[in-house]
Amino acid sequence: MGLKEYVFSRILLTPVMLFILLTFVFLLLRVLPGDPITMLEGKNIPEDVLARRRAELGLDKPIYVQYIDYLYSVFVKLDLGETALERVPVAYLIAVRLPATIELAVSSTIIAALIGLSMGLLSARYQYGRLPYAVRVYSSVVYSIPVFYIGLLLQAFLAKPLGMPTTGRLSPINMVLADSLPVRTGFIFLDSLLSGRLDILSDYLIHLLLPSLTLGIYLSGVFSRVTYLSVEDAMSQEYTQAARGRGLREWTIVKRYGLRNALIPILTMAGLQVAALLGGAVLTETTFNWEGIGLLVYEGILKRDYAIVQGAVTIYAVLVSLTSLIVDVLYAYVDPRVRY
Amino acid sequence: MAKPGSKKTTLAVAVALIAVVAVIAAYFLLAPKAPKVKNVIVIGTTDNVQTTLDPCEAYDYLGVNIIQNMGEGLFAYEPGTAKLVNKLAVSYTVSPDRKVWDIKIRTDAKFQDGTPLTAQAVVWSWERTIKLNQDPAFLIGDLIEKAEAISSDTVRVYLKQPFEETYVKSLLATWVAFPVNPKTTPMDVVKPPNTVDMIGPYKLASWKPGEYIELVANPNYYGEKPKTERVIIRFYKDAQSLRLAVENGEVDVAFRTLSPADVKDIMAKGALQVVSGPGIAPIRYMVINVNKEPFNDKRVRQAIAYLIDRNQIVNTVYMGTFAQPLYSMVPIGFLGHKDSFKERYGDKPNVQAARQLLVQAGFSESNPLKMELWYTPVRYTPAEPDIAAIIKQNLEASGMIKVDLKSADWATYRSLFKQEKIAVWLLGWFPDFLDSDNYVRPFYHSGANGWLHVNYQNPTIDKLIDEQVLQPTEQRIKTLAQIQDIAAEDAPIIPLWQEGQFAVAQKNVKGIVLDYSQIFRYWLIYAEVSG
Amino acid sequence: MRRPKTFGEWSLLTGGVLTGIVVVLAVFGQYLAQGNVTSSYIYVDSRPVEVPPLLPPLSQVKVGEETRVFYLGTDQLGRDVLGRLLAGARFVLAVALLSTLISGIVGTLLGLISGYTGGLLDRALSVTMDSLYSLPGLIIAIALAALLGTGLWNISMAIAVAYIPSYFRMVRGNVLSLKNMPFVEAARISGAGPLSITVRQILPNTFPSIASLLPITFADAIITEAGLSFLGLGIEPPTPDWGFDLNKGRQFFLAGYWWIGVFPGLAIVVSVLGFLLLGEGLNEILNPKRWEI
Repeated sequence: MGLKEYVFSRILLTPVMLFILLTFVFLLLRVLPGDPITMLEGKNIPEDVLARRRAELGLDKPIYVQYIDYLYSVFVKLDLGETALERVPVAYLIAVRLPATIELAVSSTIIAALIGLSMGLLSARYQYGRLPYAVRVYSSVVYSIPVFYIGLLLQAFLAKPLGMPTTGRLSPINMVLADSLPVRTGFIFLDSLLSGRLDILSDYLIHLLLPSLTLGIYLSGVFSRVTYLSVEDAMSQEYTQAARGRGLREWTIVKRYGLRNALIPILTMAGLQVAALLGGAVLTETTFNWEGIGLLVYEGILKRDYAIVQGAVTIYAVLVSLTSLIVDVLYAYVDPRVRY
Repeated sequence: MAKPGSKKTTLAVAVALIAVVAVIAAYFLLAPKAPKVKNVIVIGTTDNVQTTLDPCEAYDYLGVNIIQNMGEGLFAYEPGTAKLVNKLAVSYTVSPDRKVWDIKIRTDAKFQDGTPLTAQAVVWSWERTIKLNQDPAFLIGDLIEKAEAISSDTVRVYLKQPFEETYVKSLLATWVAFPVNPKTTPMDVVKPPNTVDMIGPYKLASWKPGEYIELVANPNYYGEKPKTERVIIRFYKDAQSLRLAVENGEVDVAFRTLSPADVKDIMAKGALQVVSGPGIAPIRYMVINVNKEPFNDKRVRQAIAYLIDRNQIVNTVYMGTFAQPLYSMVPIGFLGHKDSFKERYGDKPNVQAARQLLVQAGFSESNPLKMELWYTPVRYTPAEPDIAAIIKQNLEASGMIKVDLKSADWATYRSLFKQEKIAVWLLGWFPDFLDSDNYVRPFYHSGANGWLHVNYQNPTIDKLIDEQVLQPTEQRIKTLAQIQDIAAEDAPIIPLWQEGQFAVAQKNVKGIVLDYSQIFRYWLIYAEVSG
Repeated sequence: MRRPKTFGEWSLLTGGVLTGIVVVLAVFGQYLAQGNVTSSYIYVDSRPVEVPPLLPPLSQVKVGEETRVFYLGTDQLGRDVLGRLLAGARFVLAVALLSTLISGIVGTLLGLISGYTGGLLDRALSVTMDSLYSLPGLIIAIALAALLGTGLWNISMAIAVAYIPSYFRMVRGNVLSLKNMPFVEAARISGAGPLSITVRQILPNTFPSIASLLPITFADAIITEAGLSFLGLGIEPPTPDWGFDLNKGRQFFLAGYWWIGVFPGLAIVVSVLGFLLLGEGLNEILNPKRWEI
């Protein structure tokens, strides 16, 4: 089938995927001991108040009824519900937290790709020298250090001495300011730029620097690995030898044969990483107090807040399948051999 | 041989570097550092608001504290003391049978929209709370039989029982009893990001759930204006982030909760100030479900009480300065507090006595008591696993106990002890109101301790608890002493320690008051600007 | 044995040595540890002596006539950091290894089948994998661990589930581009069945990709385990565990007590590095290049 049909069928499959996912999450959450009402602070709340609270959340109904109610509200009414205790609309929370995660994912992937790709390509270009060794050692070492430790080290030894801020997306005062800007997409980069508040923009970029550097460095190991492995593999093929024999320059060879053929694994890796980042660098978000979707889902599970977890996972799943679809489409463009 | 590719790469790298440097430069040039401007104070905390900012529903520490900065009740604690003084009340008389109170209220108080406070508003607020019947409603529901406005400035309260005077005042001082504006408050719980109109120094400006709350001075407040016009309360996910933020200057005051090691380090470094105060939120204790074998044998529980080394916990985990050993469920500083556990069991582990009791109960070195000790790792303090490890050591020092440590996240944990699947676990208690009754009744009174699943039933102590809340102060102290002694003898619950309150702030911040009320009063805080 | 010449041989050697040390520690570590690993007390003349907490490395504790040295210091409960280092390898590595193996095998198999067969099966599996992949790894692990309880197999499975989609995707991507290549065509024409083609022609060509992913999921698994044990879903204290101590150390790092977390952290880095280098070396041996370095 052609590319168009493939994309179409993938898009049609998305609701199916969502359905499977939601069911899985729904069941998993219900099986965990405790429910949102278990979390209430008050220790001696009378039983009738607790029972009434549970009824308000529909928790007294049998599970299959809750399941159908929820599916109905998501797919038909397009309503993700409210959080159990705070009664904040889930859609609102997601709309506020998701941009933060996307910003972090995108900026760290860019940094990782820049570092990783250049290292990988350089190492393939100068493959007869010492460089490949250095690159391989670098990528191994970098990946061996736990991400939040890189973060903590950067915070303690780079940011603290320089007096750089390391928590949150903005300073608290700017956070309040940013929420009353004329442009409010939730993406601080856009909001501050389009509102002409360059001071907020630069405060934001400074806050963004450390977390994305942390994740970027960490992931650059992965990128450089994948790049040089695939590029080297492509370079060792016969057509590369032939090209060299024909007198093509080394860089051209690297670009035309090495890079092109390595693009699929690189794209896969990029897609995997972005998806992973979207979902949940929970520990990174904690270290830098970066309020994103990862933390939202994690806290939701601990609080047994079914609505949040289900809602966030749904949105996140849509994003991931979009990313994976884009990656698959890119496969087809990059490698004409790929047929669906 | 020319290498065009490498030139491009170098160029790209150079451009990237310049961009990064430019951004950093722009930041330092354009954005002023977190300004120590007089009109904004940033408070950082690791707490969060659990439900809403509606006084009829809020029941978590931070939610209640913020409400206490936006609202006021008839009585309040004088900052820096544990004394209850008149606030919205001007005077009161109590009937001879002590069941009817006539409270005269201020006539100059106004709600945020300018509506004057009346006795009718007070009564309406209480009726709303009782009608909506949310989590903390029982605090006035169990106190008041009926209330009516006998004039526009006098409220007549009919109590359910002839309760003792300070007991009544402390309940009426809780946030649940704050008057709300009948004109604008719905007969339903108010959802974020809103709150209700109350009488207080601040009002809610904005609220981004999970991130921050912004308060702004209430222009219609009858009393003294708050020292700082705006307050931003910023939530942090863990103690490390909070520490970095306050050291960096983004936060002016960090309150609840930095780790003891960090506070000690900050004190040593001297760049920030550390303010401390007596703490009871929470007190920590161990619960033993007395229906579970072999803990139904009092001697086993007493042996455990002999073995626990509170000082080791306080010195190791709390660095000796940030907590105090607790020898009774009634904390230090409260009416009638008595170190009953210390008197009965000593303040150091007594392995001999413990062994004797264990032998009597049928255990020995070859037949040790095998038990599980449960704890929950994140809720109270990150050091909880360490505390559990210390207690395990303490108990095993007897040579006749083998302890298996077990843990679960808070939701699972709660279900486990509610379903009575576990026998011994660690817990904490935040007070509902500041009276000793709140430290004995929910634990020892068989009619009120069901939530704890300790299954402790002692008619003698029930009677004493019922009596003490009706007695005059002198007598009450004696009764409370008896209660604590019986509690120590039976030891179904073993009090462990109480943590102090600590605020870490920039040096130019003044007005931080940490007292027994546990209320963090934002309206007293301000930052001086030099020059 | 001659000196290693190529990078591959160097990394094989280094990786092998490091991995070997770590494996030895995992098996024998608890017996090698001399100090007080799980308790705050040391015994001098059969009398228990409480060890002060938070002692820096090379501290000495004098009891009567004896002097004990704590080479790497003591942790927040006075336990010997060196001892905990030696004994802490076991759980972490077992979990990481098990989960990597499970996810690698399952993911690869599914990816091969899906990529080669194509059609409805491929579509269905992809959708399921995408769904699974949509759940952040730590979240699945937390939920499953809370459900199944703690323990080696439960934690390993909880973590493995999170990585299966990664292998699936990687292998499937490879298969898609490989299955229409000339050598596969050739095999098909010469009458080889799908099973033989998949196993003999395609699978070996996916090894480089799988090999590049294995160390990554191994490292991730260690870190996920660290996160889980911090939340109380790993191993129960006071049993030593690098992951747990690493997270503990983070709480004390800013206060200046760096040794609690840095040493377990280094141990983790070294283990993962060893594994990565070993993988590199093996990759070189198994997939010889056309040219020599």
